[in-house]
Amino acid sequence: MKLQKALLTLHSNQTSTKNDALISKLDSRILILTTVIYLVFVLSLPLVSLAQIIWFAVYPIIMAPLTGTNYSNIFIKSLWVLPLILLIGIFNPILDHTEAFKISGVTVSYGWLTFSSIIVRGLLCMQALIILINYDGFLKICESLRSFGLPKILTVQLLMLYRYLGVLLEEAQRMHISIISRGYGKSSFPLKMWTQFIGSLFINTVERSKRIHMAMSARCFDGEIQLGETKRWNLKDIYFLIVWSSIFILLRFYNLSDFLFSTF
Amino acid sequence: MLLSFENVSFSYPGSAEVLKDISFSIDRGEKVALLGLNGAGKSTLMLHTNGLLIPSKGNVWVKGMNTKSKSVNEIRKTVGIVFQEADDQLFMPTVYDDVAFGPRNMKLSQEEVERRVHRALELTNTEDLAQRSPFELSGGQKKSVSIATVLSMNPELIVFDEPTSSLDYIAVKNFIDIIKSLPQSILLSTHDLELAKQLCHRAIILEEGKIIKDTTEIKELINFFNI
Amino acid sequence: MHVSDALISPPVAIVGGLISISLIALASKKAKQDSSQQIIPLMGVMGAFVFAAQMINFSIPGTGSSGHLIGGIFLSAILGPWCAFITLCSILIVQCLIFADGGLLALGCNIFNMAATSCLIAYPLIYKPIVNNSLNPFKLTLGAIVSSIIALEIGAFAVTLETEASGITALPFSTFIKFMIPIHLVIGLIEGLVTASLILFISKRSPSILFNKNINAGTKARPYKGIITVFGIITLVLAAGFTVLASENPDGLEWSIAKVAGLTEFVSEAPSTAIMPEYDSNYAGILGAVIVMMLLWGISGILFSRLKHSKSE
Repeated sequence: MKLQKALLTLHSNQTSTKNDALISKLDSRILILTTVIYLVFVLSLPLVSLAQIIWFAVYPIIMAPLTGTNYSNIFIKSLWVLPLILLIGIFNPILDHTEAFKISGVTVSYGWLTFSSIIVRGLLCMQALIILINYDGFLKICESLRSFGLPKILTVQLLMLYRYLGVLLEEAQRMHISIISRGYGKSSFPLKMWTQFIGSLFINTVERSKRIHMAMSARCFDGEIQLGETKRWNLKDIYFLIVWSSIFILLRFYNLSDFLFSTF
Repeated sequence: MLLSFENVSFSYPGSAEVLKDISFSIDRGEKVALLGLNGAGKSTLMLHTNGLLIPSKGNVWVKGMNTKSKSVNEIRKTVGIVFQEADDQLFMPTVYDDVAFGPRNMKLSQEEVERRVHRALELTNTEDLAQRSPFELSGGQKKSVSIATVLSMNPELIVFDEPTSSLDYIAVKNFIDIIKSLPQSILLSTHDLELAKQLCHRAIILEEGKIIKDTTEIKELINFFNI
Repeated sequence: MHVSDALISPPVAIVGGLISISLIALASKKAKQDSSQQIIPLMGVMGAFVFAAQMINFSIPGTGSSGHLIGGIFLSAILGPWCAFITLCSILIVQCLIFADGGLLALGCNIFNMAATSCLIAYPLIYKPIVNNSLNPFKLTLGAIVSSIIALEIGAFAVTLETEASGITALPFSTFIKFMIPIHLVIGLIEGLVTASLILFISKRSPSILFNKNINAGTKARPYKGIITVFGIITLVLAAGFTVLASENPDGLEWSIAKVAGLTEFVSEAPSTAIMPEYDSNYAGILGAVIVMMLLWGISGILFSRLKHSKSE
C-alpha cells in the first residue's frame, strides 16, 4: 500500500545512521553542489557518447561505500526511475533507424544507442540523488538550502511539512484501515466516499493547525520562526568538491575508452 | 498573587456560556489540581491562563498584568501551558529546535538559548533526544519533551491539560517524578484523582462551567466523587 | 507529470530553475504580505495533508482504474495563490529529496509545470473570476473543472516543450503533443471534478476555511472579468488550432508511421537532427511566449488588485 511504503521511506530517512560511512561529517552543502555539478556534466554529454556516459558511473560506485552503502543496493533502488524514462525513450529506437555501427554483422542503430544512453544517464542521475538523500537526510539538506539563500518562508514550510508528514500519513492510514476493516474490500474509493474520507481528514487537519498555532503563540511566537545560526564552510570539504569536479571535467572532455584502447 | 481569575465568564462565538463567573487565585508555591468531567470547561479555563482566550466578562491577572493588555508576551513567559496533544506542541523538526523555540522568540543570545535548552532537557531527562525528530518519539518521551519546551522559558506557573491521558504507567511515573522535582507552581487538569493526590495539595472542581469546590482537603475528595 | 532528469538537458533545466527561483522569491514576498500568522502552521499541515491525500485513490467509474488528487487548485482555494504555490513547491521538493520522485535538476521545470500553472496561472485567471468569492455550488464546480483542465494542459504543453527543447527524444513535437493534450484533458477533467467535490464538501461543512482575502471583493474582480474571459478563449483557440495544425503536418505522425511500416517511397531521407521541424518551432515558440505572458498577466493582475486594495484603505 502506498501509505505504508511512504511511511517506511520517511522513517528510514529520519533514522539514517552513518556509522559505516568512511567519510563522516562531510558538509551537506558540498555534497549538494557536487551532486548538481555531476548531474550537469552527465546530462551535458551528447547521447551518442554512450561510453563516456558509462564512465561517469565512477561517481556513484565510489561514493556508495564512502557514504556507508552498498552500490548494488543503490543500483537496485535506481531502477525505479526506468518506467517513466522507457515510456518516452522507447521512441528513439522505434523512430531512428540510422546505422551507428556493426557488432559482428548485427547493425546497431542510433535509435538503440541513444536509447541506451537515456537509460544509463537516467540511472546515474537517480543514483547520485539517492546517495545524497541517504547520506544527508532531509533536515541537513534543508539547512543547506537555507544557507544557499532559500527564502525563509519556504524553508520553514519544508521543515513543517517534514514534521507533520508522518503524522498525516499515519492519520490517513488509521482512517483507511477503519474503512477497510468495516468490510470495504477495494483499495480505491468511489468519489462520494473518498470525499467524505479526505474531507474529514482535511477538517481535522485545519483544527490541528489552529492548535499548533495556539501552542506557538503560547511560546511567544511573533510571526517569524527563528532558526539557529548556519555553520561556516570547512576547507577540507572544499577539497572534496575540487577533486570530484576535476574528475568530472576529465570524464566529460576525454573519452577514457579511447585512452584504454590506445594503450593496449 | 501569581494567577487570579476575577468573575470570568466566557462563551465561544455563537455558543452557550462555557465558563460562568469563575473566581480563584493561585499563589507561588501552590500545586493545584483542576478536576471535572469532560465538557466541564477545564480546557477552556486553561487557555485563559495565558491570554490565548480572553474572557467575555471579568478579568484574568498574571502577576498584576491583565491578559487583555499588550503585555501578553510577558504573561506567556510567566505562564507556560503543556497541551494535551504532544504533536500539537512539538512542531519543529528536532527536539532541540522545539525546546529552543520559546527562548529564540524571546530574542535571547545563542549562548543563553543553548544554556536554557540543555537545562530544560536535563530537568526532563531527555538530553539524549536532542537531535531526534519528535515524530519518532514514544508518547512518554513526547510528553517529557513538551514539558521541556515550556521549562526553557523559565515560567513561574506551568499549566497542564490532561498530561497523562495517553501515557502508559511507566511514563506516568516518569511524569510524576519530573513534576515533583520542579520548583514551579502548577495547575494540573486531570481525570486521574490519584495523580492529583500525589502531586497537588489543593483541588478545584469544575462542573458545567462553575467552580463547585475549592479545597485543600484533597483526600476528602474520594468521597466527593463517590460513584 | 514529473519530468525526469534523464529526459532534459542542462540548459532547459537551468532555465526552468531560474524561472522557478524567481517565482519562489516573488511568492515569498507576496505570501508574507498577504497572510496572517496562522498561515504558517496551516501551510505546513496542508502540505502534509495533500501529500497524504495523494496516497488515497478514488476509483474512476467505467475505466476500472483509479486516480489521485494533485491538489494545485484545491490548495489555492484554501491558502490563496502565493501560499499555495509555496506549499506545492515544498511538496515537490519533498517528493524529490525524500522519495527520489522526480529529478533534482528537473525540479525547476517540475515546479513550473505543476505548481506555477495551477496556483499562479489557472487559479487567478480562471478560478478566481468564475467563483468570485461566492459559495454557489455551480460556480465552484465550474471554476474547479475549467481551471484544473487549463492548469494541466498548460503543464502538459510545458513538459512537451521542455522535453523537445532538450533534444533527447526522437519523438517529434507534433506526435508528442497529440498524445499529451487529450490525455491531460481527461486528467484535468477528473482532477477538476474531484477538487470540486472536496471544495463543495468544505463549503457546506466549514466555509470560513476557504480563502477569501477581500470579504467585499465582488467589485474588485469585475474590471478583469472581461479581459480574462477573452484571454482565456484566445488561449484555448490557439491550443486547439495548434493541435489541428500539428496533425495536418505530413512530417509528423505520418512520417513515423510510414517509416515503421517500411514504406520507404514516402520518405526521401532520414530525419534531420532537428527535433522540431521548422514550422513546429515557430508555433511552439509562439505558444511558449503566450504562456509566459499569461503567467505575467496573472501575476500583474494579482499585484494590481493588491495595490488597488491598499490604496482604497
